[in-house]
Amino acid sequence: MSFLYPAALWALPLAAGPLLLHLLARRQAKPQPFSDLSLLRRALARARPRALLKQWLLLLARTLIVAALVLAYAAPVLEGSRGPAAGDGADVVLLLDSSYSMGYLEAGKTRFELAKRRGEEIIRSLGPADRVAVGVFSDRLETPQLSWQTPAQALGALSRARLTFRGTDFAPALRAAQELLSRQALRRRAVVLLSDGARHGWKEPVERSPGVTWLSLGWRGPSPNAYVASAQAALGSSAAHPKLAVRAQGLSPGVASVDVWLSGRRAQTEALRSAGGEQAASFDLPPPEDQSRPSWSGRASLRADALPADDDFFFSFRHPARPKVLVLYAAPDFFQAPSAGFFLRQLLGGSAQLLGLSADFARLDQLDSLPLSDYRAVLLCDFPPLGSAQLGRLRSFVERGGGLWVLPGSRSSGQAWESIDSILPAGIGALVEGDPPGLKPGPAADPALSRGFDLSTVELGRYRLLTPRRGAEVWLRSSTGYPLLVLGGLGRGRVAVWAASLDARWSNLALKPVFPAWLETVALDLCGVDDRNPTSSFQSLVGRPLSRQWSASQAAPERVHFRSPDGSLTTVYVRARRAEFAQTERPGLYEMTQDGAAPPTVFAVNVDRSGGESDLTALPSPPWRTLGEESTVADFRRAVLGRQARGALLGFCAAWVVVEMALSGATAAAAAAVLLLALNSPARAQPAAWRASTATADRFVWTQLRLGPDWNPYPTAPSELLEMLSTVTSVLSSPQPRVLSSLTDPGLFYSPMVVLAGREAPAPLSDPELRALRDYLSAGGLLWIEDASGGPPGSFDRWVRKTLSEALPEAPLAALPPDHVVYKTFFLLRRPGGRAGAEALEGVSWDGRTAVIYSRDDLLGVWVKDALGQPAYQCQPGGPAQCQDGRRLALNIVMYALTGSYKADAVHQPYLMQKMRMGEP
Amino acid sequence: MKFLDSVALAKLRNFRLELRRMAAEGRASGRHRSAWRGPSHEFAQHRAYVPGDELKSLDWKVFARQDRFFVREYQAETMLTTQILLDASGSMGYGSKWEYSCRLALALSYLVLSRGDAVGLSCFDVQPRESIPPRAQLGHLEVLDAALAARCPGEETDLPSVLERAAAQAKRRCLMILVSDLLGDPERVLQVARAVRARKHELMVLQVLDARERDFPFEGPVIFESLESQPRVFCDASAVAAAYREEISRLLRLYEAGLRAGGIAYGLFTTDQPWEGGLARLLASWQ
Repeated sequence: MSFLYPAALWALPLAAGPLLLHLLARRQAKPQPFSDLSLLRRALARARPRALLKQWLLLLARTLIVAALVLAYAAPVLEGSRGPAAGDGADVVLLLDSSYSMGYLEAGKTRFELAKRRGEEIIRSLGPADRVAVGVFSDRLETPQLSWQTPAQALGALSRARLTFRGTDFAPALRAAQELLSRQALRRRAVVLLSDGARHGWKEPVERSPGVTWLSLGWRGPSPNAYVASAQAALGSSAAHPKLAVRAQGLSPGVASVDVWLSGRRAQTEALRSAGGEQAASFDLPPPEDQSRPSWSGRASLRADALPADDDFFFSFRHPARPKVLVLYAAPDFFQAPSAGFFLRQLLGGSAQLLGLSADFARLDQLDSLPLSDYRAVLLCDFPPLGSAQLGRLRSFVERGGGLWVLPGSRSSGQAWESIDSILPAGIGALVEGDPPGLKPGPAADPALSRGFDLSTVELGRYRLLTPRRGAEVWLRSSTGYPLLVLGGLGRGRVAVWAASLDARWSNLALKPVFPAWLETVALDLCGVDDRNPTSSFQSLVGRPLSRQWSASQAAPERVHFRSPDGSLTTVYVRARRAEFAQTERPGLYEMTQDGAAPPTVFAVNVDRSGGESDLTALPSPPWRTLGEESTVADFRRAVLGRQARGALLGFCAAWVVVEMALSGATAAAAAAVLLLALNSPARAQPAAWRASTATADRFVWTQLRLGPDWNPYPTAPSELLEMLSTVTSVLSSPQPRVLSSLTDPGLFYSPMVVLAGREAPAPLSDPELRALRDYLSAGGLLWIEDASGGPPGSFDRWVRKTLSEALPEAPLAALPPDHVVYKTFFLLRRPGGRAGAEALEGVSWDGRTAVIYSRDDLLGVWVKDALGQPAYQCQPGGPAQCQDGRRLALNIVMYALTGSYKADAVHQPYLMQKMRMGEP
Repeated sequence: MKFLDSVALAKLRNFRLELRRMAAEGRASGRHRSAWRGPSHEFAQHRAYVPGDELKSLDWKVFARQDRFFVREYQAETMLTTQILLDASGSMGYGSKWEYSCRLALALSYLVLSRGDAVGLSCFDVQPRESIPPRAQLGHLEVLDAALAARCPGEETDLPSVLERAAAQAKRRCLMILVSDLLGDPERVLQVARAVRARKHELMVLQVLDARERDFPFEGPVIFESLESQPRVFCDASAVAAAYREEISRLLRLYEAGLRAGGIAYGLFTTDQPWEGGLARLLASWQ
């Protein structure tokens, strides 16, 4: 509870008056002789209880009447936000929630639109003494900085706000709002969350500053919302059997259907039968369009409900392609049992698909007729000496990007080795035999090479001594430390050489569990498959950048292009092998393409559901008060300004007056007078008091005449001027300027000073206007004319001189002397300033004072600031000092209008001198 | 005389205190019928002769007619003694009650004396203070007047015991006139009054009240100080007025009903009304 006029509470001790009067009267009781008191005593004994009751009731009634009257004059305000000077305006920060959950449709309109409209209502209901700031937030504060705004700016900020696809977090917005409010602790303060107030926004608790009221919007009824929680490759999905797992949540009981859309077409629909809550479905996707890049992208959708933003879930994932390799062998006995071919066919041949690659087997002498470009790598097994044509084919295959794995066998004699020596990453040496069992991974080995299988039991009967060449990598070493598996580059491709045979007569590697992993890892590396994850998902969230990093082994393009779901194309240059695209404001599929033939990468960007944004359950026991849907403004005013209790108090008072009248009987006439007084005077005082609290009663209102085409040359100047006025002087100003459309506007006479600015001549004034101007100036008003043209005297100057001579023919327009009081009403100025020069002011003396001040220095132009807060216009010729003087002179003119020649009056001098000398008057 | 001026005396000539129905007991022969049969001219009755009667009272003519002895009895005529009891307690000093009562007492004395009867006066508060024995001379009035003028009210009051004592002291049947404000315990007063009546005394009660005692015209907070030695009372007079008026009217009703029922003449006098009217009404009802 607070009071509009707390000073009236000092009168509260008056309520003790009746008691004091009673006690005084008791002391002043006159003695009265009486014959016999026994009868009186008996009467007294009978009447005393009633009399006492009546007496105390009367006392109580009178005390309560006085107390209630005093309280009524103090104008208590219930419920409102507390402030010591409750009469001053309120500081209101409106925080508009722009998270995607505000897109919830209520009767055809999104909550966002409704919240904006309710926010506008609140702003329009504010009085001139109130301040408002509008901030837009989602999971962060979207507005760069909260600051106080004019109502028009606030309305503009509200209407400019757009719905985002981000989540909600009240905390940063609330903290910023409270930080702004904490700068003025002496006013009523309120934060209004224009939000759905859902549970998901309250991610971390925020301490409410004392004295700040939190309000939020109330909505009709519960808000059920079904949404797709996720859509991703199902467990066990592979390039051959792609599967999509979709999880939907918030389903209402009954049948819901989920559609899967692939490249703009509905691919599948599945009905979800649920008893409400969560439900999952699995979809078999069609085979990929490009077998070499098995990727799928699209969306899983529920039929649109009240909140459509989360009914789609975009997905994009890729399974690794099964590269094809060619196994070349010399003779058919290659496939007989202990030979390597037997093991390779077991693993790679047929439709077993045990490994992430498939293989064709061909004889070496068919090499010329084979389409090598179909394969990613060639396994050259048990090779005899190669012809130069064969070697040339293999070399060109590798140099174009293919892989070659040399796996010797018993046919691979020294001659054979020599024939291919030029493409090998290692030199071939003598046969080594009798090493103890065990292999060691080399320094450059792929960590997936052994996949945890035991290498220590692998035994090599014999192997060739390898000497790695420059740039070659050793992946495996023998137990004695000699390189066994060496990989190296050749052109754009890679070549691997294995020092032994896979033949079981040479080593038991093919019999060991590590063999498939070993084979797959090396073969895939040779195939250039860098991505060995079973599933690569390209998922991101709205607002997170999309990025692609190229590894050192990959060729990074110079630039890539990102195509947004709305079709716009953005080119991103790759820096440090990394491309990053940050404009992911909306959910959808973003395509990244490279120059050239490389297939595009599709990123699926979804709204962030992880914070529970789609769950619109209202916050239980929220820390704010809720504004009703129909009564937003009324609730807001009650919560912030409070409810006046004066009427109730007066009613209470009147009731007790009636009691008092009934009890006192004889003094009913006096009581009736009191009642009349009680009902009459506060009733008169109340509206005035209420108005004073909200209206411009004691504030300086900037009043400007709308005459001529450019009556307001600098629209921002008045607010700047008033801000400085309230900063440096104790003048209170109203933020709302008053614009008079003509001189006959009655508002003219409510303004001590009227500003007329312009560059070009307005239309000549009519007779009634001239008369009104003369009346205004005669009645004590001040007209400040500002020629903003800034050049030589133009049409406006001529118009001013002509009009003034018509309005005040007996007083000429003359330059004001340098000792005129306007140069010292607040700042002591040695010279005038202004944007366009520093000429002395001109003025019309009227009735002992200057009624018209005419400036050609463009004193308003000095107030205009650019975006950096610097003066927007150069002041010629004096520069910033002249600019500063211009500002001071403008303030002086305002102070002259308000205080007259106070500073020049010698009558105050002794007082001021004494005060300066003594410190005290 | 202080309390009876010539105008009052002139008025009193129209009043008569008729005590005929009262049988007076007294030695001196007077105008009143005596309770005793005795030497007189007025025949009372015949009565059968019993041995011891004076022979001279035998009615021989009846004996002649009826051959039985009857005695003639005559009504003895005696003087009536009237005792006036005047309350001189402090409460009687309120307003003009005392003067008023003195006037009433003297007026009654005059009426008694003018009929040739004897009148005595006794002022009392807690006990009889001044007792002037009965005399039948008119000059006795002066004595009474002087005595009353010398007396001023004060002290407490104990009406019942005084009345009781006075009734006991009166050896013969007499008329007792009590002039008092009767502000005390009404039950006791009535009880004693009935006891006095049972002793064959005639009793006449004149209650004198000040108008303020009846109407209680006070307002606002007042400290009431007793004229007798009672502690002071502070009260809001306006609050207690209604209750007081109720009390006093109840008291008056009680006296009126109680005294009338006991065959006791009762008159209420208030000082704002002339005493003649009240006295006339009282004497008329007495007839």
